[in-house]
Amino acid sequence: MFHLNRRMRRTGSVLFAIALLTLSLLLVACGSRFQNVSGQSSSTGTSQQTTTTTTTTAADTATPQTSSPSGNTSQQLQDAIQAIDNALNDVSSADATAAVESGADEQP
Amino acid sequence: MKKISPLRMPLTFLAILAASGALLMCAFLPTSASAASVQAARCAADDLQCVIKAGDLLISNRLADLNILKTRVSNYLSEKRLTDAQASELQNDVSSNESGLQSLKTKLDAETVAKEARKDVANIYTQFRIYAVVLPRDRRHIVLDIEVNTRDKMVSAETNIQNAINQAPSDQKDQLNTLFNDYKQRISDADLQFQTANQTLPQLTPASFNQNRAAYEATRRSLDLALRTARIDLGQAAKDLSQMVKIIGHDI
Repeated sequence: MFHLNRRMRRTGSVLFAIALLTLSLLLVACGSRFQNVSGQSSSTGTSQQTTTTTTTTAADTATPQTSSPSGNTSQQLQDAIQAIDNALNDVSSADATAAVESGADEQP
Repeated sequence: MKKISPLRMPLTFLAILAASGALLMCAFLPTSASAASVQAARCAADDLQCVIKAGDLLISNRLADLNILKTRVSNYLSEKRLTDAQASELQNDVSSNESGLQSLKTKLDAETVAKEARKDVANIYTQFRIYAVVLPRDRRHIVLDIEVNTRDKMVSAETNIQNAINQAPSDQKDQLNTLFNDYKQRISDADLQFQTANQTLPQLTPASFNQNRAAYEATRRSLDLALRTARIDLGQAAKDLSQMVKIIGHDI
């Protein structure tokens, strides 16, 4: 009976440890993400503006995922519509960054 | 119940420590980072070099993002999404802002009094509004240009579409004409949106932003609605054409 309890306790401990390790990994990931978000949005704070480094979104640097105009007319138009959508996404990214100057213009 | 010593469960103990550490990290990291920013951002009233350094950073951030926009315009040009004239107009706007910021940086770096340096820093915002106005506006300009080019391509296809319908079997003509009429109507609807967009886009300026923020935002929303409605119209026209191609059985 004692051996069984001890084994169960060990198993429970290992499971508990695994759960805690998983949780800690998640929290670390959460921490680094929070830090990134903080870096992005700190510019909206009233006293952090001068040290803000605006982050460049992947959409900014990536080549638009549209093929160049080629192929038949219908396909070309579908590609053009996709290009409009990509450009609209860029607008959303620019609007998100616009928050840097949407508050008070803080002096250093 | 028997007490469990941490030493008998090193793994559990380590896990608890790791979790606690992670929790502490989550709780304090953003705060400490923000605190560091605040400390670096605040300059003493007469600390000229601090103000210059902060202003230079503001300018370099803006120049970097303007350069990204310039690259993006070049990409669209090489993909023939934008015409030479459209790309030039956008590149000129970027260049104008870049040279303006460079001049302001030169002035700022040469300041000898903190108060004057602070005025220069204020001008980074009030004169240029790179993030609030220029970049969002120019991105919208790109959308408008691509939409107009798409409309042009659709209009230029109309003759071929009509010819294809004329040559189609009679039992297909009604359906094809219905689709073609919708195609033309959608293009016409998009044209109305372009009129709105062409009227509102030039109103988005740093001056209008500074002068009346509410009016500026209303104009921006009106432009956004026009661009998105035009996108829907053009998308539907493209679908109409796609259906016509399927019915006819070959490209138009």
